[in-house]
Amino acid sequence: MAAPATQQIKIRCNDEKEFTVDRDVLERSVLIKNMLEDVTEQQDAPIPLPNVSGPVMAKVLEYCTHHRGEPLPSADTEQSQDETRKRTTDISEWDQKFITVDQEMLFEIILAANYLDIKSLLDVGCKTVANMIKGKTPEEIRKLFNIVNDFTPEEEAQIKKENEWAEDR
Amino acid sequence: MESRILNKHLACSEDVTNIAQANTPIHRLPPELLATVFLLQKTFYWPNGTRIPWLTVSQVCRRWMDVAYETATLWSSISISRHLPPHIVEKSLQLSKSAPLDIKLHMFEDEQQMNPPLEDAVCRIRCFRAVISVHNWEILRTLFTSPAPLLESLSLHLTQPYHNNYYRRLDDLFSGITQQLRYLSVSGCAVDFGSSFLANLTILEISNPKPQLGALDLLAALHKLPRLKSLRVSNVFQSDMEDNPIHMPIPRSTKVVKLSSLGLLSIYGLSYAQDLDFLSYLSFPSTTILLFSSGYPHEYHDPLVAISDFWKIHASARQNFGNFAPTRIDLSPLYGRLKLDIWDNQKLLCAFKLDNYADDEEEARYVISDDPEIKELFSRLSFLSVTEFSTNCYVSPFAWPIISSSFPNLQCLSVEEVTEEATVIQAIIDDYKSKSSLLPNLKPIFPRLRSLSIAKAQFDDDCKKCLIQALKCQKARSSSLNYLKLDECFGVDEKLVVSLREVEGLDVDWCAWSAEGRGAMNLINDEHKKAQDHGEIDLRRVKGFDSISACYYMDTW
Repeated sequence: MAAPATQQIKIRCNDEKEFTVDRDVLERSVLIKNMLEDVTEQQDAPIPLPNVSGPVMAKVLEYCTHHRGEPLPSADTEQSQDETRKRTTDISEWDQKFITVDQEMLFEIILAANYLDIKSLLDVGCKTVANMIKGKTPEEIRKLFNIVNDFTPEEEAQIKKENEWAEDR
Repeated sequence: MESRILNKHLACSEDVTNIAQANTPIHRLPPELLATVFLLQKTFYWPNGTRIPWLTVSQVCRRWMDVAYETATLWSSISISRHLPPHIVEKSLQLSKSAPLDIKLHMFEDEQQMNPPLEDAVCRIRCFRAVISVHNWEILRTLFTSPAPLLESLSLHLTQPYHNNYYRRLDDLFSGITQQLRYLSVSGCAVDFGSSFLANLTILEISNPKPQLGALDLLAALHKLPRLKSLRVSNVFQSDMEDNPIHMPIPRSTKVVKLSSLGLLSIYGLSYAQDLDFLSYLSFPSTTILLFSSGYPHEYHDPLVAISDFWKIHASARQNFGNFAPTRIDLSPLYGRLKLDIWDNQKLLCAFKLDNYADDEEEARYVISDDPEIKELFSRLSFLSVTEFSTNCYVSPFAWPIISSSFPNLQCLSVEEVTEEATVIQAIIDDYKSKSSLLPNLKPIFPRLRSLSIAKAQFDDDCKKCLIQALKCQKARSSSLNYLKLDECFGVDEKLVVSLREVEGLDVDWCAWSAEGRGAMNLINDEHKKAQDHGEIDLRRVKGFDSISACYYMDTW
């Protein structure tokens, strides 16, 4: 049976930071939704979320609050979303502003969305990273994400040879 | 001693590398998420001859290479042309492991030396699209002799089909065994519709069939394809040949074809009034979206005659339209192309396009003017699409106020221009400047506009300023405008989009200009599908339009 929309749920992050949130906001997370459905009696103890820190959870909750009330993806819509994803890496205006954060936070949000099973947020995060990579050379990507080139000189030569046919545009 | 020092040095630098990599935030993503990001690279368009995005990510570092190489589906789409060296094709086939393959093949007349190593991969092909010169047909036949049990989608377009009387037969490929085939698009070759491998088709597109199909042939073919959901025929009826079977009237005894699953019927290339007789022998649901257009004017050099004929024919085919009772009719007889859309309760039922080759302002006036019936139709117009494929003709700013007064109830306006400036913007701002002192007593142009879509226009600095000002003016006068789409417009950049998004209540969608997308003509020549995608308003984003029918329209298009 659906719980009243006003029910408040407590969660505790790995840095002991606690949030009290409307149930419908939290239920954007499939992980938490399933947890709440498994609990039959009202519990006052906060739900522990050992893989998410307070600051990241605050951002995730900002996203969930903005998108509260929107239909959650069912198996069918997930399939059609996959189709849409094939065609576009567009991100809505609000989501774009929301995800304009430093890289540290961006990847933490992606990991949290993955852990909490919030598909739409995971999608926004992955699309953002994909857009950052788009059109860049390997060297530009390394610079962007501070990745060390760990190929041997021989492997580098092989890569160079492999790319001889292509132009950089 | 020296070698010990060297080894220690190497070990140390490896440790340093590992520590540095571990501190890189992106390396916290587990392989499956990194793979998801890589797979999104497949959605991006990249020009032939440039780096393949997924090859690029595999060359960033060892970890990325391992993840990319382990993601078989990343390598399963292969676009083979003279730009792609064979070793990349081989690498892609190898790394795609057992994943179903999507293959694109471009092979033109001067590329007969191409011999892509695909023989062993035929059993894995799920989607195959080829644009080849007829001179390369034998190469194709040799490559694809074995059955393709996974093949779901086949698109085969033969170029230069007119130079040879020897017809290329589709069932010569894949041993005729393609039991999973659902989508078939063919151009310039012969199809045996009696063949059992077509029985499960749900989407069929035929253009320029060789030999030519007549209406009777097509009706006979459709009898064998009862599961069709989408049927597009293009230039099937058009021929300068005197023995064109279409000139023979369809016998009255001809059995009506029932296509009970049909959602979309598009007939492109109608040239004669009797072409529309074909409709009288088709039975389909009343919800089917119908699209008609004339590719080359024979009888239909005059749009008004075409519309009149359409209505006459429609009356005779009324039995096939169920309770068809259009509530709104959209018509845009403008430079370059005429489009008539018929809507019923916000569902697009029918669109009729016709090239009219008008190239001066006078003709636009002529088309828009006078006839009371047409004027009445215009007054109900809600969706107007103007496409200008020629650099010689464009809608002058002067014409837009006339168009606006002819279509006072317009809600969606889509303009695709090739090289000229975004004249509609100029017209809106000129109109505002000239009448602003009298506001709100004068009606602005397009007062009920909800959506404005501009594709492939040039925006210089002045034009950009105009655009922001025009939108603010438009919003000030009409609160209904809520969606703007700028598609591959030269000069439009993120900075401009940010400014536009500051206009309250306006949803802005944009696609950056690219050299490849500069001219609609180039796009049509290079990649017809891509051209079709451009300039279309995403109706799902326009508030106030029926979202379900809009989705249906967009998805089926």
